[in-house]
Order: sequence, then C-alpha cells, then structure tokens
Amino acid sequence: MYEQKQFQDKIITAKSVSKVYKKNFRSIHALEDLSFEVFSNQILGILGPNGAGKTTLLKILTGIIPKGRFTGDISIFNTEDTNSIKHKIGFLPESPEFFKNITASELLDFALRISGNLSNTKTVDDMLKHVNLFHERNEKIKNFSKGMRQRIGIAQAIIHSPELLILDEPMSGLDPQGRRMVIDLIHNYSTEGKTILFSTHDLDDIEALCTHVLVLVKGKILLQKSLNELRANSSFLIETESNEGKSIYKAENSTAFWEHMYKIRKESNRIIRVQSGITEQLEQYYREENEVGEGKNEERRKHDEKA
Amino acid sequence: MKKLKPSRILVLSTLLTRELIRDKVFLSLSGAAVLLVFASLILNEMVVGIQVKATKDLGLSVMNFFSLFIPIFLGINLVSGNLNNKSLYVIFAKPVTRTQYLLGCFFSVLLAVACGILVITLTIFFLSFLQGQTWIAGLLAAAYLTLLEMTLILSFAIFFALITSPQLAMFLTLLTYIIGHTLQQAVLIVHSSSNFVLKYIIIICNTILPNLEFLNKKQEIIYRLPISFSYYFNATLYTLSYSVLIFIFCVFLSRRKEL
Repeated sequence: MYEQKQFQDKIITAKSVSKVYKKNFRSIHALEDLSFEVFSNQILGILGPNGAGKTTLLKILTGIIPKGRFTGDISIFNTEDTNSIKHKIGFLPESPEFFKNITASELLDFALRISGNLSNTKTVDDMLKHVNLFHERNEKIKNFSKGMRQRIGIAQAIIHSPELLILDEPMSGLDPQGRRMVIDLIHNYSTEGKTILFSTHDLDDIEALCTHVLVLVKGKILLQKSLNELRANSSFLIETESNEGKSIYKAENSTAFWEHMYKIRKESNRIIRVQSGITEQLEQYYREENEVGEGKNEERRKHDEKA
Repeated sequence: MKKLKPSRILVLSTLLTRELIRDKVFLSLSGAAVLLVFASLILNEMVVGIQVKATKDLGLSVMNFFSLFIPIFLGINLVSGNLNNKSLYVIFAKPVTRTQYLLGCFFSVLLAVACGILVITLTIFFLSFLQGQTWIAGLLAAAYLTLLEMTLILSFAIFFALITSPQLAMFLTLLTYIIGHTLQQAVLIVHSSSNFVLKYIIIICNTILPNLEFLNKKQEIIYRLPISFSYYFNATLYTLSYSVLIFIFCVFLSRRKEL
C-alpha cells in the first residue's frame, strides 16, 4: 500500500533530545539522547511500554513542554520556535480532558479560531458530522462518554487541517466502530499528503497503519525503521484456498512472498489470510531489551551490594 | 504586545468566561448575593428612618464579600485545577503561550467578577428604587472600586495558585484580603509600639502587601461625601501597577511549571 509513497521533505528533526523530571529530589530520565527524523507523508508509529517516554516525546513535539525545559534540539517545519508553527500541528492527548462547561461546538469553534482561522459554523458542523457528534453539538463535554470525548478530541485536533497530526494513543477507549473511524481518518489524512505521528501499545496498529516505526524503551530509541525494511526481513504466512482445499505457505522473505503471490494469482487461488512476521520481530525486540535490561539491573544490584 | 496577540487572548478569554459563568459555584454565589441583598427588606422592618441607608450598607457589604469569592474559588480553580489535569494539553498544543493563557484566565475571571458585581448593583438599584430613592452615581463608584479591589485580589490568587496547592492558595488569598484591610490601622498602632519585631513585620507586610483600605470608600459613598477625581485616578494607577507587577511574577512562575 505504501510502496509508492515519497518521503521527501524533512518535517521533524530531533537531535540529542533528553528530558529529566525532578520528583521528590530524585531525577527521572524520561528521555535520553533521542535523535530521529520524520519526513513528509510518513505515518510514524511510536511504540513502547508504559513509562517508555512516548507521551513526554509527544509533549515536546507539540510544545507543551517548551524549549528550555528539555535539552537537545527539535526542529519542526525547519524552525526551532515551536510556537510559530503550532497552527500547523494537530494534537490529541491520551484520554483527553476538556473544560467541563463547554459544549462540543464551542470547543471546535475555539480550536478553529485560536489557530488563526475565521469562525465558520459550516466547518464546525461538518466536523461534528464527521465524528458522528452532530446531534450532541450543544451538549456539555462533561456529559460525554469516554469514546465521545476521544472523538471530539480528534475533531479539535484536525478541524484546522494541520500538516502534522500527533495522536497519543488514539485508539484507547474506543469501540470497534470508533477504531474504524480513527483508522480511516489516519488513512485519509495520509493520502492527502499529511504527516502523522501516533503512539500506541498495540503492535497490530503499527502493522496495519504505519509506514515507519520507532520503538522507545526506557526513554531510549530501541529501533527506528520503515515497515518495508521490517517486511524485507520478516517471514510471511499465506493461507490460500483452491479446489483441492486449504493450504498454508511460509515465505522466508519478501522476495519469496511476492513470488508466491504471483503464483497464487496465476493459479486463481483465493487468499484467506496473510500474516507477516513484523509483529513477531517487534515482540522479539521487546523481549531482548527486557532481558538485557533485567541483566543490567542484576549487574547494578550486585555492584551496589559490593559497594 | 504584537507577540502577546490580543486576538488570541480574546478568543481564550471568551472560552474561559463561558466556562466560569456556567459554573455552579458562580451561579450559587450570585444567587446567594441577590438573596442577601433582598434580606435588607427584612432588616428594614427593624430600623426606623434609615431604611435606605440600611439597604445601601448591606448591599455594598454583600457586593464586596461575594465578589471576593469569585477570584478565590473560581480563579484559583481555573489556574490550579487546570494545571493539574490534562485540559491544558489541548490548549497548549494550540498556538497559545503560557503568558497568553494566564492573561486569558485573568481577564475571564475579571469579567466574571464584573458580571457578579453588575447583578448585585442592579439588585441594590432596584431595591433603593422601591424605597423611593434613585442611587446611581454612588452605586457605580462603589462597583468600580470593588472591581479594582478584586483585580488586586485576583492577581494574588493567581500568584498563590501557581506556587502552592489550591486549598492553601485560597487561604493565603483570604489572608491577603484581611491583612490588606487591617494594615493601615496596624501601622498606626505599631508606630508608637516599642516591640521592634512586630514593628518590622508590619513594615515588611506594608511594603509587600497592598493597602486595600485605600480602595474602601464605603462610608463616603453611603453618606454622599465628595470623592475627588484624582482619587479615582490614583486608585486605578495603584491597582494597575500592583497587578502588573504581580502578574510579571506569575508569568515567570508559570514558565517554570512542569506540565
């Protein structure tokens, strides 16, 4: 699906970004020496367990953590002044919270006007219809369910048509219909040439949506690759059905995969299921890191005991 | 000024004012204030010959007392509450700086205070009209001076909300209000005192905290004594310069605040 995409313009450049939180006279390293680049048209999935630093990274990118509160350099749309390009960014926080006495249409009107656009009832109504909240437009947000809040959160993030969309765990709290909506939104936005960053715990979301993946563990980048690179190194399971019955073929690499797909098409067999090994690869990265991490912890404990 | 972008502050203030005036606390406070002003009708049954004076006296006290609760409850909750939950993520991810947000908070609470004062002013005017007296100039003067006083209290409320917990901020703001009103008398008392420690504490308080009694002209207004134009000018200048100074501290503190 993404093979034809061109990732040309540099949208984000991060160089040696670190963030330390001070809590009860203790320093917590949320991010350590992160360097990466994001190009236009990419869908970058930021994957990592709880406490990996995903939200901190997104807060830095959106300017919620301002310059001076972290070390390193962040350049977005070729400028280090995040404030000047915020109108080009849309952000959905994790489990978004809003002012409790504001209605859905007032929030969207605010989101539109604060980004420098003129107030436009049609745009607000269209967006409310798009996220299926038109009938609740005059309802106070405090009365919304979790899924509805997530949808109004998405609406306020995209109403001003941002060039860069940043979503912090956009699927959390959504029912299958809501998930479908987010998936469609990400696909549609990507086809318009916009850049999307989203964080998730879910490996399947990464495989289904992303062009690139960045795995964060304990504030460090463990892996940064395109999905095509991952696909090239992964095996594939292809389940097909013909007149003779069902059969499963395991392709060891992408070349073997495409050769077999050609054969299937030639023989007019029906494909039932294609499963790539990307998820397994990512899971393996996780496992290895945890094992290494535990080993390091063990060494540190022994060292402390000796001391 | 160009960097502050007044249009953005206006958009933000509109949103925050809507949030405040729909708050149950604001509606309850305004309702209670109106009821208390109407209670002067009962008081009038107990006094003879000074019914209008009693209405004015009680009305202006209610105006001052209830206006105080708006910056204390709503102002502190708006700043402190939102800093501690995630509703500010949505705001700060948009083209809004922390200074713009604080200014938005400041103007929206001030507008809510003005709305509260307007409701009480109209109630007092209505009651005094019922008692056969039209009282406009004095009432407007009292409303204006209350607004100035609450501007000062609001800047202190925001300052305390940024440095401490909401409960402690409410207590400290209330303490500032009380000290601000008693400081003038305390200075006069310690002037002749031999206790140096007390003397210095009062001098320090007098230097740091605002003299709120300077903005209290209730007696002059009720007894229709003349108040010079220069007084209003000085009172406005005093309030503005004090509030701007405190606000600069607030901006500095908010930049250091971790979200």
